[in-house]
Amino acid sequence: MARPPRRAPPVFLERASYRARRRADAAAILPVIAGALWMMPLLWRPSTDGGLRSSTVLIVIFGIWILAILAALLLGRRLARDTDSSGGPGEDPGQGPG
Amino acid sequence: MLTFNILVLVSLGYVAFLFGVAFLAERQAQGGRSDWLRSPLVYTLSLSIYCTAWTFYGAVGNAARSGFEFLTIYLGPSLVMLGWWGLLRKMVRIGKVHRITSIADLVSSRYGKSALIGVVVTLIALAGVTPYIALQLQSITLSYAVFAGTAGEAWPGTDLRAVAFWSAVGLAFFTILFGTRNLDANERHHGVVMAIAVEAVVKFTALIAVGIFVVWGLGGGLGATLARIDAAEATLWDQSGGRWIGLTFVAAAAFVTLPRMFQVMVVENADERHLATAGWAFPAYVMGMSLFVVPIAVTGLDLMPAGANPDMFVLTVPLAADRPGLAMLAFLGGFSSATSMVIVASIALATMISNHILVPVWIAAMRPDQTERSDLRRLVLNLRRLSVAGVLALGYAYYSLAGGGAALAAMGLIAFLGVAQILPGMLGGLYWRGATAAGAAAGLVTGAAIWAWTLFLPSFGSGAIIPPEVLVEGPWGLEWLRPQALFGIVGLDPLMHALIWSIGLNTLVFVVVSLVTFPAPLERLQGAAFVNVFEVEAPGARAWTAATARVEAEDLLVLAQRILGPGPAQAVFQAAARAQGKAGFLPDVTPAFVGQLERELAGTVGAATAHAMMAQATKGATVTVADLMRVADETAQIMEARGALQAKTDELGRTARALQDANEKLTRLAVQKDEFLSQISHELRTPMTSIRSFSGLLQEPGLDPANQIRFAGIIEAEALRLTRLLDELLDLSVLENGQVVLAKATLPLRAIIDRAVTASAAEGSALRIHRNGADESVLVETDPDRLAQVFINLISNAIKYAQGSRPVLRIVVGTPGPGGLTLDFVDNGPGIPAADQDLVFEKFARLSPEGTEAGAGLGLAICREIMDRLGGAISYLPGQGGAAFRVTLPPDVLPAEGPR
Repeated sequence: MARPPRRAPPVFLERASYRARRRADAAAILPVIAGALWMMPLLWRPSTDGGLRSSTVLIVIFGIWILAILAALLLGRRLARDTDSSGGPGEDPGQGPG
Repeated sequence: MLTFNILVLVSLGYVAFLFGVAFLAERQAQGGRSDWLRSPLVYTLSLSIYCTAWTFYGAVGNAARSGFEFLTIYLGPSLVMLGWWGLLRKMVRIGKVHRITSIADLVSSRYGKSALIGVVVTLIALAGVTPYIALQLQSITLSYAVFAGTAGEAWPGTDLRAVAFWSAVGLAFFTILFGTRNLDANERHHGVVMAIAVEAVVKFTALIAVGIFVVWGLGGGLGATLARIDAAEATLWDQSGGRWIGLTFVAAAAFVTLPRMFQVMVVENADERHLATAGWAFPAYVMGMSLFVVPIAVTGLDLMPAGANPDMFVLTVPLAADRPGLAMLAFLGGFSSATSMVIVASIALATMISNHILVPVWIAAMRPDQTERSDLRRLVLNLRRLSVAGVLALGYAYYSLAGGGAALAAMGLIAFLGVAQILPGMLGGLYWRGATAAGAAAGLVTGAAIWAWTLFLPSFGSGAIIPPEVLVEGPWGLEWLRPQALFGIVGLDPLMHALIWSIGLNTLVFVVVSLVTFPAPLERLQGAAFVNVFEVEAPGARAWTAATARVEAEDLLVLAQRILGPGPAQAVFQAAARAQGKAGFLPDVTPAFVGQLERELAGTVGAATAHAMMAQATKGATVTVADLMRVADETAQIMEARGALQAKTDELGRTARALQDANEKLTRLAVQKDEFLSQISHELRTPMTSIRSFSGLLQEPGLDPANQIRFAGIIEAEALRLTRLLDELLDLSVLENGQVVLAKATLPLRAIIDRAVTASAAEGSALRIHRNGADESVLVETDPDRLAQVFINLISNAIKYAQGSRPVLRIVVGTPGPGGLTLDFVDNGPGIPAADQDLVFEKFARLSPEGTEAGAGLGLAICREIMDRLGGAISYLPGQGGAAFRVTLPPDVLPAEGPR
């Protein structure tokens, strides 16, 4: 049972596929960036004169959270569309992202 | 006031409502209207079983005790979900392609469907999750106790235990009813998923409602609450970086390895694209869950009397503020968190226990003839129901033994770290083809042992399981084995200590053992299929050899019917037969079909058991190293064939180009031929016309004798011209037919050239010939007459074409060498246009169609034929400032004892 030879992936892509690849890159790097940002408050020490307030830390952490969610929202929609157009998984067609 | 009875009634009502939801969802799914049941929203909500009662109540308690540390429990999973593209997408795809039923199945399947690894992962999960279930039962009883406390009734402790007992029974009932209804992992648990989605909404609403009440009802708005946070006595932000990062890691690891998370995330996933929604929606959900935790904790610390349990602030703060309705909502939220977790966790654990422990043991214990008769389908379902009951009984037993103490409260993170031991083996299996079963098993056992020794067993308290002296001095006085100071590292936070040692050594052992062991063929096959899941299309077909053809399809059908049920099994066989182009229910038993059938069975009983069953049925026709090599060979052959094809294509291209050139040449030749025909007609006609007219004149009477002689002379000259033309044609045809006989002689080249110059009457013309006598003294052995004919032709051409005031012809004799001897005839005429250069040697070719004294165009063709006969060549030499011809004599014309 000879299979047709698998074609080697192309080295250079047209614009649309190129953008899709970069979106995938962005999706992969997003948790790294978010994780690094969430580590950032560790560098702040509570100063004795009350310079750093707990509420500031709290607001910063939640702010990063909201930004990460927005980034994932934008990326996720485009990525779902990318996989759709490339004839992605689609066992159950029907529901789009909603 | 809320009484115990009201509370029980509300709880029962809520439970009845959940039963209704689950029942309706199952009905909808059976009616084929499952689209909305399987939306990305429901998927995201079902993921929220991550937020258990431990996080619902415990996050506030944790915030009250340790500040913002509770956030790590939410940040870790948020990171995992934000990065869904890298890890979760791969897990879900593998889960679908390989019909994975549980986390144990995933790891076992990756490592060659190893039964041992399935058992190890199942045991680790059981050890981690049972206390966690006990924790949920405790939270339910504690929340009852809170209401009892405020109601002022002294509920005896036995009642609380009864609450836990009846909760466990109720949960077992619900789980068995909706969780073990069907067997195939593809027919998912619609009812359960819908119920936990509803519970997700309830707990979210409850926590947000309490939060809003605390901030705007009690706290006096956002600004005031923030001020209160800053003024809190406890330092909320005083994190050691290690613990913050470590806890985030543990939470992230547990998020992907917890059996219940795997169940909802991978097994219950209906569409890979739902991950794109969950990727942002789940982080948003947990952010909402943690938004009001700090305000509630700070408010509770302010309002409640010292010594109040901060774990219950979510309930006690509304109660203290006399908001029984809100407290009831919060109670239902906590109840939802606990129940949804217990339901899914027990389904996931029961699947693992039945598929990886009970069913294999049962099959091994039965005699072969018995297994062929028994109904495995019902057996597996019953074993799974038994497992659900067993898991809950274990949870209840654990609660009864260890309940109420601080030991249980710390259980959450301990359980997280326990299941996190699966992470190295799993990640390695997903991304590293070199990971082996031996490495994974060694890593798992090492990690689990260190986790149990350093964290799990000590968590029961000093002296409970590990004697106090062992904690202090180490076992057998070996200080470096002290549970909380392995290798003499003291002063570390116990959790971090256990985390570093267990995960670190787990990974190290896993990698090192993988590097030094050699995987079995099936392992390598599965490894490639898992790591390259996005590139490889149909796995499994390669796992069986052609030896399967010995097996009767009917035997396989009998086996499949016992596991899948008669209807689905027959459908699978019929579809396979149709795909092979056969009618009926029995396809040919090909390796591909056996692989497909195994995958179908794996969806029910797990990969390891399915593989063992198929191996038994096919009498061990499983893959060998030789088969793997053959696969590689096939690939190599295909590559080779492709290379050969490419070479042929190139050759064809070259041939086509040559043909095209030939065609162009032929076309030009045809044109030349037409031109020649008209020319030769003209050539023949001109002398014929003169002969006719002068012979007519001769016949006229009264012609004077002088004119008679003149006319006869003209007639003779014209006849000679005709004869010469015909001679040339004849000569050419003789040469072409190879009928010429060479008369060879040895003489100096000069003699031949002299003859040619004389014969061509060059001396009488305006042409001046430059020669170099010394070079011409070379002796040649050839046919001098024929060679002279060539030279005559070339000199005549020069006389004809080298026009201008001073026509010059240079005859250059080259140095004799191994390539022979060359003679160049270069004139200063107009030369030959590049387009005609390859045509001049053709018959009928004429150098200048409009030339004044054009010949018949045979001269050069004759020259070429002669040179061919002599073993040499004649070619046009471009770029010499005029027409230039090179005559090449072969080396054998030079006598060995030549003068040079």
